[in-house]
Amino acid sequence: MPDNGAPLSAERIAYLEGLVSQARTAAAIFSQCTQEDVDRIVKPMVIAGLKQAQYLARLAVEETRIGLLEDKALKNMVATEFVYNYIKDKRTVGVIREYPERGVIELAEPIGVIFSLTPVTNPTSTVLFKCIMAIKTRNAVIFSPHPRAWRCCSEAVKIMYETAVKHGAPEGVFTCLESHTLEDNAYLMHHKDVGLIDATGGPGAVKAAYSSGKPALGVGAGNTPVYLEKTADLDMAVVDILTSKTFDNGTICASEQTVVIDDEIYDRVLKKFADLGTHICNEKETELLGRTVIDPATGYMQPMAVGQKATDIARFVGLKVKPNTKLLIAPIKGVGREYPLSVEKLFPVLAVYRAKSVDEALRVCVDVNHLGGLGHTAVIFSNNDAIVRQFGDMLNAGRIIVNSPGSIGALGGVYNDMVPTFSFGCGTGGGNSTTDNVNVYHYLNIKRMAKRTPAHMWFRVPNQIYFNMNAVENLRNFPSRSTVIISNPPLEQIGHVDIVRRSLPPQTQVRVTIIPDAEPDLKIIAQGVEALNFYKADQIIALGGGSVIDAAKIMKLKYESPQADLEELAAPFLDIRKRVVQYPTEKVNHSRLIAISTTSGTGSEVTPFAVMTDKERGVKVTLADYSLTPDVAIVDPQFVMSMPKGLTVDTGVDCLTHALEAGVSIYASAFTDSNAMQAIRLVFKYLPESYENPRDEEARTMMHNAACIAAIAFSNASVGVNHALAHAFGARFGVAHGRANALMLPHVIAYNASVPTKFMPSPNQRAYVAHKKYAMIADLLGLGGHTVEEKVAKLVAATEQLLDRLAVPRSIAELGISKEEFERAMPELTKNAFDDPSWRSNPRMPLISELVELYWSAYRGRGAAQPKAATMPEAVEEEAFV
Amino acid sequence: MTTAKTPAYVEIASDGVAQALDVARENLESGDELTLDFSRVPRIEARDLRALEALAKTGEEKGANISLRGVNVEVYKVLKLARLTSRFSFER
Repeated sequence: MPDNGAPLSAERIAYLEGLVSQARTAAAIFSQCTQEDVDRIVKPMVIAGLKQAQYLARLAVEETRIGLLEDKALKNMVATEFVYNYIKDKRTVGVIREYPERGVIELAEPIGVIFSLTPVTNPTSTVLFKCIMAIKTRNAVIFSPHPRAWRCCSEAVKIMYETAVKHGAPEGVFTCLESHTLEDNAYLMHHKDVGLIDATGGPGAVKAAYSSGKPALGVGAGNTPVYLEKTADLDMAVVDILTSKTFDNGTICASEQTVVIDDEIYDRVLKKFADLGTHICNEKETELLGRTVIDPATGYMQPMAVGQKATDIARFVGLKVKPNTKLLIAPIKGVGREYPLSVEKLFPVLAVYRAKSVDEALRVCVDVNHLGGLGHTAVIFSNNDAIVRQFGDMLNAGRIIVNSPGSIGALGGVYNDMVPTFSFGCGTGGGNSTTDNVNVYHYLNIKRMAKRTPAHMWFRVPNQIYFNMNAVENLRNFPSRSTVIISNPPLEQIGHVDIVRRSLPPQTQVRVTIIPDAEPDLKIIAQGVEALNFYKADQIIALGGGSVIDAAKIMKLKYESPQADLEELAAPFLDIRKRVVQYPTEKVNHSRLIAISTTSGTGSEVTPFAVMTDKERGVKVTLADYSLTPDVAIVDPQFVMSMPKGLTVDTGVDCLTHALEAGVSIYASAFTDSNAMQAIRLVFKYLPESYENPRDEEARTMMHNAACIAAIAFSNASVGVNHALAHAFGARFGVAHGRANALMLPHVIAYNASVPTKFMPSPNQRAYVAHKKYAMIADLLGLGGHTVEEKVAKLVAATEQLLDRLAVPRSIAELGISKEEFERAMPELTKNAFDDPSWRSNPRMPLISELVELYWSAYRGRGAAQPKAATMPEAVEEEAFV
Repeated sequence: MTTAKTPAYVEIASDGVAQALDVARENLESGDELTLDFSRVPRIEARDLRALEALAKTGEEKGANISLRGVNVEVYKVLKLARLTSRFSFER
């Protein structure tokens, strides 16, 4: 026996280092083998194991004096034949699995050197199992068998090794410590070249493995509870339990330990056991048995009883039993230290408990499970599916075996389709990292190769868009029993509401709800919803600018789905496809929303966004979902012919910003680009005309179309950092949204055209293309220039000129905001701008320091819009249109 | 006074790696500059690794500089796993 506790001598260290070096070299060489190579080695190993099954079983029984030769031979066969049947077609080299639909490939990387502890209870079968797994996965193993099973294990290693090397495995692939101490084990467990510890054994070995700091598979003790429920097939259950608990004299740690039996069947079950060769202990015998086979000091089973025959245990304890007794059954009245036989007993002694109810039975099973069996195995015999499920829910066990023997069932592949193993993962309950039946995949580093998969893109627009002069007349195509028009006072006063009313089919019941000309709040929304309910509206017509149309969108949402929680729906999200909060799909009312825009900027008639104010909380609530998009959009320029100059500029610049930002957005696509580019062209051509000649019908028409087209682009590609800056600035200093956008616009173009400090992650873009997009826009506008840099500069200049022509303030300073005031506001501005979701689709990821620079650039105004770093190089030949 | 030695160059054949390495080791002298061409070695065996290890040891003892040329990535990974790469220099 090893002499534990002595420090390792230099010679011993040299010996251990030699083992590791040999294994490391073998593993290195083995890494060159192909799948065909390893499969060619594994098969003869399996055959050798099968041929030597009885021989190794005999050696094991002779050496350990534990278990039965016949059962050990059977275990050796299961460890070879059944395991081979499971692994033979499995790929364990190179590409092992492919998921083409996900673009993911799994590749196998061997671990290298595995240090393996094997137990005294299942010595040779465990060695055979681990050798086959190691070769299948191209690993080298250093075995450290239990000292009481060293000879049989080293013989098993030798048989496996010689066969493996004969068929092409590298020399040194398996070695077996020639005797060992705990210090040897500790040395190897901590060795830098040992990649994995696979410890099958007692709690001490498992704990040492997990304490080493190395990745470990530690599989230790169990305490299997069995619930024998009254609906079970009792004959089958009794035979299964007998088969399992007496298998190799109960040495498999998954074998049954305490059977909890329903009161109604208890006596019948015990009689069946007795009829089949079981001795049922009386109270006195149970007490004597418990005192003898369980160590009263530790509460654990006595090692001398492990794997012994029932008759030998009975003789040792002093019980009189029949000569052919297979099993000793000891009735217990509870679980815990005061009931010694309720713990794990790796010998043919089985505790039984009489339960008066299902609830009591399950509670006792849970108690047994928690008395040293967490994560391991549990068994139920029942034909009541509900109780079986409840048992599964209540028991913490990696293997829950139903209507079959615990030990052989847990091994897998015989009574069920679980993975065949000789190593049971017990999860965190058992201090393990897995609940799996340990198999070849635990002997591999599985590498996942993930190919770039472009995100699914979309292009959503309202079902129908009617545009050009008198497009409102198309309303007659929309029959309705009850239509509610939502508009604001000025539009009612100038007769626009009447135009709409006249355009509806004559039989339509029409009501008008007038709301204030301002961003809607909760009260206004509630009043609108009340009107919709009162009139049982089946059609809502929103006539107005962004505020009115947004209000109508939210009213429709609450009218159709009163349960919608606006605060929850406004929860932030990064990707609309993966958002946490989903908009309601169940509707109590159904209505059609027709949006008629009366400004040429927000494009709310085609967007999935709506903004409202929560006055009570003092916050703006932004809702975004494609279900908010109006069903029909009417883009009729007659409603904008009288738009004031200031509004023309503010909304027109907003439209230009939408198009420019959608054009360079990370969500830009060929679909959105076509809209963004067209909108930009229209704005540059027609916005000055609209501004200077408000009655110019063509200019008004084109600008009205441009606003809608730009909105289609940004509804699908989103906006960018310009909007984030403008939102924060506009809110802080009370500047109209369009004007705030205008102040930032040239500076943001220059910023996005420069080499980014941080790129925005974007699977859909194959290169940084913002600068090229701007150059294309410059080409589209005919601005000239030869290089990308020149073209970007020309676009910035053209934007400056456009804004000059529209007479918008060209710097924040011009608004009368002092440098000091602006400086004081800067922390709040940058915080709010960074919190704004708009920039998350910007091509550059803005740093907060860059937001500060952009704000100061806008403060200084004209001429400050210069790329800070070099404009992105032209050498990138990627297609700018994505 | 020391005389600079002419660098020696040995092409390794795929079917005799260990033998070639053993010969190289036996002939190694102090301060030698030795280049071993592995271009024709697609895969190596355990005995080859052992021979390389022995050569590295002798080289270190004799202060020789041993370079491996043309080592393919598969063989290079084996040398890496066997912790041998730090003991040689590598040429393309």
